[in-house]
Amino acid sequence: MQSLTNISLKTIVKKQVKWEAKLNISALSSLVIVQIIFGVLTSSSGSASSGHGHGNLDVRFSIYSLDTFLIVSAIWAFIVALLFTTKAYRVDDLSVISSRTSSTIANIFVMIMYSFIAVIIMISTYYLQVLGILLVEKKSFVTEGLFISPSTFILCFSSICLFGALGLLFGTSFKGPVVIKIFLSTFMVFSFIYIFMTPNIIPLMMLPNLMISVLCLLVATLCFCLTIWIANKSEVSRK
Amino acid sequence: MNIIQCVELSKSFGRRQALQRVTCAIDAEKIIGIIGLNGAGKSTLLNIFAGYLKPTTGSCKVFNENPFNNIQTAANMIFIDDQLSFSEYLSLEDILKMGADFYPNWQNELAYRMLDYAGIDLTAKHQQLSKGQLATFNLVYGLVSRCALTILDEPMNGMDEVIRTDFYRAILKEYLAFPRTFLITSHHLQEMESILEEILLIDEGSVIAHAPLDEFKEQLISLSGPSDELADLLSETEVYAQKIVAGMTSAVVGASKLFVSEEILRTKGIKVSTLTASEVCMYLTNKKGRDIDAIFD
Repeated sequence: MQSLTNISLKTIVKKQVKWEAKLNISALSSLVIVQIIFGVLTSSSGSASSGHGHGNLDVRFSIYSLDTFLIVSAIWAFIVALLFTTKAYRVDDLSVISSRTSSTIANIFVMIMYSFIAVIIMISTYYLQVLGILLVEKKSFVTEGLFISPSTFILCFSSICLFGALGLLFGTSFKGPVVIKIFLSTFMVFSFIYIFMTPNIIPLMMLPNLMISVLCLLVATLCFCLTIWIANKSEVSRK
Repeated sequence: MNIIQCVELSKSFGRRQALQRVTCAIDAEKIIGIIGLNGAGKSTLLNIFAGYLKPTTGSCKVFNENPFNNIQTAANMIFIDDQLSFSEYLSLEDILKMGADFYPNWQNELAYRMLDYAGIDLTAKHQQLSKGQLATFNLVYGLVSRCALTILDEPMNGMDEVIRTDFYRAILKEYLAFPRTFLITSHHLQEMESILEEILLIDEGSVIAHAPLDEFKEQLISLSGPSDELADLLSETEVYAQKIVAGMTSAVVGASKLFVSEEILRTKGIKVSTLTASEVCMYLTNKKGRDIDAIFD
């Protein structure tokens, strides 16, 4: 009898990551476009602005920060992750050596890679915006720090990663067994309500950047593990 | 050696029972036809073999392992059907490169030659192909991957007759060059009879026959002769179809319960003839009382 092929999960995941990252590169170009659009839209007022007037004196402050870019990137990560779990992507995976587990792990790695690139895109667009305002509008700037600190970079990365992880979990849970669908959707709805409706979120936001990053990465890891577990239990539906 | 073993395998989708207590064993390096009417449970069985579906009860082993979500099963199996799809960003040439990257026994040169023969442009996208071209490309993809278990679910759907005939030969040639197990479902049993070694017949979710092709064809025979001579004989055996015209009866009966020698039958003026595998399948799965004419009456 023909000898059987022995391939490890690691080898398959590596190959899948290579091809998926290459094939879905358009997701990153869409982020560049969206970031530029938001950069242009917020170029006059920044992410926050306030004005004071007294007699003939009128002072207007505009704060230019990464906030808007981070929100856009987080939403982008959630949507891209959701897209990775759609039928079209899942069926494509079946055309090569893969299992639900290998495909999910590959998606997670691609999401992590894309989150990292998204932070670079985000920061680049931010610098471009500031440069554009400096050159075109010739406004006076008060810079807090010329370079983005590593802790801010990690915070942005972990936040985007978290939203990507939530997208993957949300998308995968709807392909899993019915019990998981009901349990996870209830859990997610209540979590969102708890996070946004209770005042406990404010002290959480006051934590140092690094602390928030660790929290985000922990929740993201939990979501990734849950996603793999659900995918492992899911059947393939191609109808 | 068995590469697939199913014991009391059942699968249900909600209230619908797709497979019922299927027990079968499939040997390595054989070309096996999985035959059955639409909705008989063929695709469900193949999906379980491929590890896409989990049995509700019973067990299924492929290469001695549970195939469900199993990377080793995936590494040694390819499932070709009309739902095979690839990223819209890949040309056919890129798809072949991707296949070569994943499958260790991949035959790129052979793929190029076969696609050239079928007149398929490698710069085209998978989504741009016509139905027949799509089926041809998918079949080529399945053949050149040279997996130990190659599952072809209706591989010839949409192909024209000439290409179909050619590609049955291609399957046979590939099998001879690199023996492996082929599981093929098709509605064109007559066409592929020549390449099949075994037939596994499924009806209403159950395996009703699994035998080498010759043995399978011998299950039923056709008898024709004077009605009065045949009447006694038909009462003793299972009759699958019967037609009486002007005192002459022709009937299809189960051969296993017919204990009369051919010589005696000949003396009574009864003619015995064999059936094709396709006809045997048709009679074995034909539901009693099923008559299209009754709808129009």
